[in-house]
Order: sequence, then C-alpha cells, then structure tokens
Amino acid sequence: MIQKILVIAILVVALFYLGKQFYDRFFAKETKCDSCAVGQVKIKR
Amino acid sequence: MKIALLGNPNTGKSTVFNLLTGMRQHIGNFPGVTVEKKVGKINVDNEEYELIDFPGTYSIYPRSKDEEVVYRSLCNNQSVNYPDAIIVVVDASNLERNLLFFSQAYDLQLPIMMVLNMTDLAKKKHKEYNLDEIQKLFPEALIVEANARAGMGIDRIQSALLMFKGREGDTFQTEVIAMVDNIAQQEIETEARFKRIASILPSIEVIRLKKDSKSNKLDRILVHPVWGYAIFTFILFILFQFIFEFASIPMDLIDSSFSSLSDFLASSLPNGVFTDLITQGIVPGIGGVVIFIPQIALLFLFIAILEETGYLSRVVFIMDRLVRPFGLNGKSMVPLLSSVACAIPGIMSARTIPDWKERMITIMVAPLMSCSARIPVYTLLIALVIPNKLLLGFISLQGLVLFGLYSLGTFSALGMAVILKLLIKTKKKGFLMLEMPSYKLPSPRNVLIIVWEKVRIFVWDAGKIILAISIVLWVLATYGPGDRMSEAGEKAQIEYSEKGYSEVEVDQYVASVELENSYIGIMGKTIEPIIEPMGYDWKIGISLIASFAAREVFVGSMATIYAVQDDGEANRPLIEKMRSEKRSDGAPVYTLASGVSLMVFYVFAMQCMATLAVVKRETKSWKWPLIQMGYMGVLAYLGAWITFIILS
Repeated sequence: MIQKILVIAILVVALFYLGKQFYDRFFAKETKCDSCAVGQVKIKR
Repeated sequence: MKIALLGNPNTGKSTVFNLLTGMRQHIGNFPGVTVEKKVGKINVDNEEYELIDFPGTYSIYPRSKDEEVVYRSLCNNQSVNYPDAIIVVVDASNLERNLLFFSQAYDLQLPIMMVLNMTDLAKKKHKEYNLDEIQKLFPEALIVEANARAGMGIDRIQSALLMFKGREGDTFQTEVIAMVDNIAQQEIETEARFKRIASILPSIEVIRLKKDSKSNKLDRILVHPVWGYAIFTFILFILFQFIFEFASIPMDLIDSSFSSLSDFLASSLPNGVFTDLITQGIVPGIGGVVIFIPQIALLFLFIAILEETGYLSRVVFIMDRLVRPFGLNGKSMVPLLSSVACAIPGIMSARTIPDWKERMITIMVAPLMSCSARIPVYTLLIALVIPNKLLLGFISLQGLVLFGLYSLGTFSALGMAVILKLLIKTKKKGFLMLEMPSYKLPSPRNVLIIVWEKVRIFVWDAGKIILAISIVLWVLATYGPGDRMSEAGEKAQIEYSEKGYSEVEVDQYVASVELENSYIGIMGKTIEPIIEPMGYDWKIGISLIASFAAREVFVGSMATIYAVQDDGEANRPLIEKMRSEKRSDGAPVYTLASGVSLMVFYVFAMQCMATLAVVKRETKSWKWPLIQMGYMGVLAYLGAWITFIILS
C-alpha cells in the first residue's frame, strides 16, 4: 500500500513538472526578459 | 551602484565580468556571443556594486536587436538598466576601432572607466600606449591597464571602482536619440569620430604598429578558398572520430554501473511497485542521460578549444562565402554554428541579423543543424546497426556515419534556406562585418568552464524532463485498462508452458505480451500503421512520441520500455536488449535499414519543445513554430521512409 502511494505521489510530481514546463515555455508571461530594455522602456523624443 | 560593462565584441569583456563577479558565463571569440543580459555583484571595501554585462557592440548606434539593448539602456535614463557608471573594456591590440565606441560612451557624461585589456596581445603586435596621453584626451575617465585572460589588473579595476566620480554637463543623448532613425547623420558623425581618432592615435602610440605576422601567416592557410574548407572538414572529421573512439570506455563503464545498480536495488529493496518504479523506470531513465556525458563533454571540449583559439571566427568567414548562394547572410553562420551545440542559443543569436527576412530564414533552418541532444540518439543507433570496424585501417566506420549525419543536417539546412529564400523574398543584400581575433592559446580555465556548463545543463535541465517522462512511461507500461494485461499474461503463460518452453523464455514472452496490452502498448499499437512504412515497431513509436519534448528522451524511454519488458531478468545493457529484439516473424527489429531510417528521422524531425518555445518567443507568433514543426515533420517522415525503402 505504501509503495503504491509513493508511486502515485511521484507520478503526480512528474506530471505537474512536465505540465509546468509546457506552460512556462509556451504560455506564461516572460518574467526573465533578455531584452527588457527594448521591450519595456519607451524612448522619450 | 549599478555599473554597465560595455565594449566591442571580443575584447575580453566576459572574462573581466567573470573575474570581477565570480559568475560564470560563456566566453569566447564568437562575435555576438553575449546576447543575454548578465548581472553580477562585486564587493569592494564593503561597497556593493551591481555589474551588468551588456552585449558587445562596435558603435552606440544599433544595427541589430542585441545592440539596441545597449543603445536604449544608455540613452534613456528611464530605462531599468540605466547605469550609474560605466566600464568600457577596450582591446589594446586594436585601439583605433575600440576608441569609436569608447568616445561615444565618454560623451554620455556618466562616470566612466576604460579597461585597456589584452595588453599582452598588443605587445606581441608591437603596440604600446602612453596612458598619460590617453588620460589627456579623456580627462574625466579612469584608465586601467589589464590582461584579464591572465587574471592581471583585476585588483586595479576593483580599486578604481572606489574612485568613480560624478560628472556634470549635458549628455549627448537628446541629439543621439534624434539621430537614431537617421542613418545618414549617424554615418557623418561616426566618420568624424574616426577621423579624429586617426589624428590622435600617433600621439598615444609609443611604438608604431606592425602587422600581426603570425596570425596573418596562419590566416593565409586557414581562410584560403580551397585549403580553408579542406582543413575545416578535416577538423570536423577528426572530431567525430574522437567522439566515438575515446568516449566508448567511460560509456561502457557507466552503462554497466547502472545495470549493476538496478540489480542491487532490486535485490535489496522490498518487492513492490515502488521498487519496480526505481529499478525499471528511474534508474534506467537516469542512466540514459548520464551515459552520454563523455560524448557531450568531448564535443564541447573541441568546440571550446576551437572557439578559444580564434579559429571559429575564421570558420564563420570562410562559410560566409559558401552560404551566400543559399540566401543566407554571413551573420547567419553564427546562429547556425551555435546550433551544432544547441538550437536555442543559436536561434537567440539570430538577433544579430539586422534584416527581418534573413533572420527568419536563419531561425527556420537552424534546428536542422544537428545539435548535441541528437548525439545520444545517433550514437545509440550507430552502435546498434553500424559495424565497429576500421576503413583503410584507421577510419572508424561509426565515426564516419556520425560525420555523415551532421553533414546531412547541414546540407538540408542550406537546401531549406534556398526554398525559403524563394518563398520569402529579400530586397536588401546582407553583409558580414566580422572581427578576426588574433590566434591565441586556449585558456584551460575557460575551456573547462564551458565544458562543465554544457554538461551541467544537459544533465540537470534535460535530465529532469527525461526523468519525469521516464516515470510517466513506466506507469503507462506497467498498467493497462481493466484486467486486460493480466488476462493476456495468463493466456500467454498457459500457451507457452504447454509448448514446452523454458521458464525464462515463458517469463520473457509473458512480460512482452503484458507490455503490449499496457496503456503504452495500446498507444503504440494504434500508431504502428503510421510508422510501419519507415520500418519501426510500436515500441519505437512510443519513444518517438515521448521524445517530442526532447530528442534525447528517446534513449531514456527505450531504456524504460525494455526494462519493463525484461522484468525478472538480470539487467542487460540497453543495446543488447535492442539487438535481440525480434518481430513476430522472428526477424530482428533493428536492421541497417530501420536503424539508418531512424537516424535520418532524427536528423530532420523537430523533436524539441524548448526550441519551439524559443521560436515562438523570438518571432512573437505561433505561425512560424508551427510551420517549422510541419515542414521538419514532413521531411523526417519522407526522409526516413525513402531511406528504409532504399536500404531494405
């Protein structure tokens, strides 16, 4: 029984990790922007 | 205090950054290598400084996206990256060119420090400078000599940090910003600066420069229109020979260690599903990642050495001539060569290409260059179906096939570029402005950092995904709908026991039948008709699906599937299990035809979720990654199918 619970727990963690990776890469808003200076700041003219 | 670290490409800026902050970053001669913003902390006399490493740029006027980061950060005091002070790393061996950017940065009226770097190389080129004269020209700048590669001068930079003084006066940002869209005005201003620099140079040079004869002599051979290509091909050929010859010993050791670990855990842990998950799912999954460390390390060791010596810039130069007829800009060579390591930094470095259409073509074909994630797949399949023998007594056939796969990827990238060139017409003609750094001995520290970082990223980032997928695959391979698995297993047990097979043979057959009736087996059987023309069975099909997220998952998923199938048997190396795999008619699954077909599939297929995500981010659209996945999928299927037909 304990072994089954451990397997289910590990499976849930694995699925959560894969789901999060997919979401972060395709749908999440960028928190780390490599070109923030370009994207976030407007030049005053 | 926020300090911007600036300078031309190849001035040793990244080396200065590493030495000052202790943070690690890719270092090399590749133009445009610093694409991302890097931040580090420096502590001097209890004062903390934040150092931002900006992309290398030749002028403050941007010509590409990464140069725009520098321009917009320095010329807008509202920018989050606007610095309190700036350090400009200047290549002492090429002061004339570097002074253009320094003089522009000096005019920003920010506290400024000039780090006159690479003084050793300058001396080799018979160049020495009078620092007092430089100081007279830029009276408000702090001027420090350094030789960062040798770790010299860092203490002087740290001491100078304490001497930064505020400057008064208007910056020239208003004028510059007004000129940003006016290229003609920029050119006039740049020309005027160069004229001024040329006129002041004699006053600061102690000894008139002589040509760098050693570099020039080497360049006469290494960038020669015929010998240049021959030498580059030879170097690649040697690289792949080495990868196969020298990596096999540690790989065999790792493979047998993981098999022994599985056996040990199976015998010492209590029986149950969790133990099975560890011995059949987790350990083989991790083993499938770790085993390729020697090959990945060797590949990057070679690349890092070539980069450190300055040779890779020559490769970009000679390849520029070659790729122009294919519609690629010379600058495309940087992303394409980077993609041999990994398509993600390769695609990101396409930002250095100013023209949108040329950038798009480069991004679209970059994943066809064989990346390091393909190595585990290639090497497993080559070892499986290509005989380990020597041609002409010294050329490894397996190494030759690996070389062929990399060549196939390169030529298909060029071919696709031609097609895209016709589909996306370019009006502007691209140009290549490339710096040829002097040849130098590679720094062992830099080489080791690069190798370590690449191996760490492979094991840690790819490893976590591979492990998670291995766990999911193991569950799908161990369980099936209702009693379907157990019923099929019992039926097989009775059938084979009655036929008089040995206990071991019956166990193997039962495990195989059960696997076929598991969730994964049902999924594999469903897609089998689609992949059968390429010579694959349903187990390969499962690994193809699983490796959609990352190519290298193929090996880990094969290890998991065969570990489940071998339930109850002593753990054998994966390659032995695959070699003994038979179809229902007794014919081997892995033949020359099916093995090479699978290799061709992986040359073309876009099996990398991370690359697709980066393409989506870089193009700000779903259209391009979907087109890319589509055309690469069609190429992979047709290529693998035709290969199988020809070799069958």
